[in-house]
Amino acid sequence: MKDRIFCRFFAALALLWLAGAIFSPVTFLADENRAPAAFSMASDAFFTDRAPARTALLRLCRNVELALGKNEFAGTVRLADGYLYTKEITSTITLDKNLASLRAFAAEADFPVYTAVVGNKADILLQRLPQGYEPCRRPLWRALSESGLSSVNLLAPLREVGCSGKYIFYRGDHHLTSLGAYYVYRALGESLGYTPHTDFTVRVVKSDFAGSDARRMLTGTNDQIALFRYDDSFRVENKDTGEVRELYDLAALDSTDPYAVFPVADAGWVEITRPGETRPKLLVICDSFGDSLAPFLARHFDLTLLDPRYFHGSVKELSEGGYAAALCYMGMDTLASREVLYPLRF
Amino acid sequence: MSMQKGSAYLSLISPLFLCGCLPVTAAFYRHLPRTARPYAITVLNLLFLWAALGKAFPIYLAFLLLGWLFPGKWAAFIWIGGFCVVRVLRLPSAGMAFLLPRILWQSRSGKPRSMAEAFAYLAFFPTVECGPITDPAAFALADPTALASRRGIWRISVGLFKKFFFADGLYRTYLLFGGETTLSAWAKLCAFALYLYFDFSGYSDIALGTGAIFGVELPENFDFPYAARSVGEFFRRWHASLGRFFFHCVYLPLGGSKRGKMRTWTALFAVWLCTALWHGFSVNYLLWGGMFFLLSGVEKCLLPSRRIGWLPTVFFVLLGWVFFCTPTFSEAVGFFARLFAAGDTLLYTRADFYPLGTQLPFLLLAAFLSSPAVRPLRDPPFAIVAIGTPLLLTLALAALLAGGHRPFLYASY
Repeated sequence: MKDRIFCRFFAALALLWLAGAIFSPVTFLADENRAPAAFSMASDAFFTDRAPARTALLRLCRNVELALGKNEFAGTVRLADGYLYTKEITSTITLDKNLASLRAFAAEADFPVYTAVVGNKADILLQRLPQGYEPCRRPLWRALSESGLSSVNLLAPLREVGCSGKYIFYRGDHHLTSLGAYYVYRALGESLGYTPHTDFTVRVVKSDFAGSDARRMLTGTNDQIALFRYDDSFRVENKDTGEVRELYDLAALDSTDPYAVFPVADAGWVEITRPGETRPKLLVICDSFGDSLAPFLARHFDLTLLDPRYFHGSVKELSEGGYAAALCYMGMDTLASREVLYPLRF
Repeated sequence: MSMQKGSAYLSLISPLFLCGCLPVTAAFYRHLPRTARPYAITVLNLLFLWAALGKAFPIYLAFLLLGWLFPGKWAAFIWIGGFCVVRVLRLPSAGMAFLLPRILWQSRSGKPRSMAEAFAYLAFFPTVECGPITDPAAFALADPTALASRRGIWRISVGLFKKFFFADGLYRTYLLFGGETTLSAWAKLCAFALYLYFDFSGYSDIALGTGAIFGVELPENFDFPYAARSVGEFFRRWHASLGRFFFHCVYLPLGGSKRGKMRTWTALFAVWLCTALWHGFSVNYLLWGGMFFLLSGVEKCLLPSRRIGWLPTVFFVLLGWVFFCTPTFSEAVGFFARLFAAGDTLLYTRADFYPLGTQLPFLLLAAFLSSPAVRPLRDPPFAIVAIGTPLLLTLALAALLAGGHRPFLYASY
């Protein structure tokens, strides 16, 4: 009798679980900042994304794995002082392909092309890495230094300020903070020919930002988004959609992606100009690291921000727009994990 | 040659199958009259085959029909010819490596069957993806009882826990070790060995549990193989159903060990050649088979005790897995070089200690759970089942949600 009750209980439980998943009202996974998978006969994700008590189960798994001493969950490693770091699968082959595309672009362009590559937390926050942790990233940096490109060294200055305890990376996100971007802005000054300004008004606009690393680890890191402001009279136009916005979109701070407060925000082609002024034009080929740097560079240049991951137009045509220089500003993880720069080959 | 997840809809570990199809069909099945069950199982098999095999379904079905239509001596030709054609032409072959031995074994057993009975045996759905390869004489559709179903649910829970929590976690551990130094290469190999065990034995547990729910007692496929004290014993404990198949259908017909040492060596050679080719047409598998042919031959013919001991057995088994975790012969050679610190391989570097330190408790726990110390948990008392089942299912589900899952490795053979 007890066996029969046992079997019926688990059969009912299984059916209830499935019904719970199928009829789940979930339309957005807030902790993971993504929509649940659509129904597909060949995919289990539809059911697992709508699993009842999904977040509680994920937290359980995280706690068990951390209790086993793994120090990481879902590919995200715990560093000192609450910093989190997500490992990307990188390869020098992919990096070489991207650098070759960049070399081809630099050879064809009739303006100087500079390269500035941002490392991740494992490259920069060395003192916060776990004891004995070796990210094995030297071959990537060696490949960059031997690429023959006009490369601005960001690794050394960022390591210096990072190791002095400055808040240059969000604890729970892979991006640089505005302060980190400011140090990049300073490092780029000599190559791009400007004197970095210091007269910014710094204002913290969000104190509970949970970035991609924090969401993977299902934890809040209470990161602060600060804006370095001086003058907001810029025109930011998304050339893909025609949408015009202000330099900082403060409404985005309360959305599911607070990082979209910065310009660009996953757009392929954005132009930032100051109406009524004629200034030198800078073409910035960037990934999302460019978002926080753009407000600083906009103080000196009219910017064309091109994210090759989303840009579908002709780079050749675009580059004939009378630019004074071009800057390729991307994360090493982007360059070494995906072949993103192939659109630069004319 | 792998299970094409993109073209298949279902597997034994799909939530849709486990939480929907399984309880509904099992409840329906138990109320059928005994005479209708082979037909019901055949219908279930065909539906599952269609959903699980994707593009391989028509080819599988063709071999299934051929296997039933041409029994006896023709089966050997179907098996060998079909296997070669499928392998050489690289046709979608999901499940084929487990179907063709069943065709041959059934034809050798000489047990006459109706079409429904034959199909119920040849394509019994829990065994389609990764076996076990059932002895036709032992395959019977018994009445599904509540006790068997309870045991089945427990085995499924254990299997899911093994697969999602351990196998998939161990695979991530395996990837974490770079394998560039001797220390890291051995750690990587140990992680792979445990991953392979939890992945395949996890599937077998789920298959056995599902079979039990439908009243079919499938044979145990794993019996804590890493505790074996000889190579022969290891392969009686590891994927035992494949070993039994080759024993009955290759080793014994060639004379076995009763007709002198020469015939024994010949039979062993044939068994290991077939075993290697069953895994795939590659130099790595042939070398793996050759290595164990020599070791098992030495054990059988030269050692009076027929045992080389636990440590040498584990050592050689681990070395054998190098051929499985490297795709080419040259990579296998490179891996061996790192294992034995050949050339300019370093014994260890500072970078080895972080992954080792963070993964060691997990590896030790996995090693403990692969030992015979947990044998009593195969069929524990009701109280343990009642408490353990929800616990294991919760942890398995949590691990599935956190990491998704990799297809079963043995489904690629």
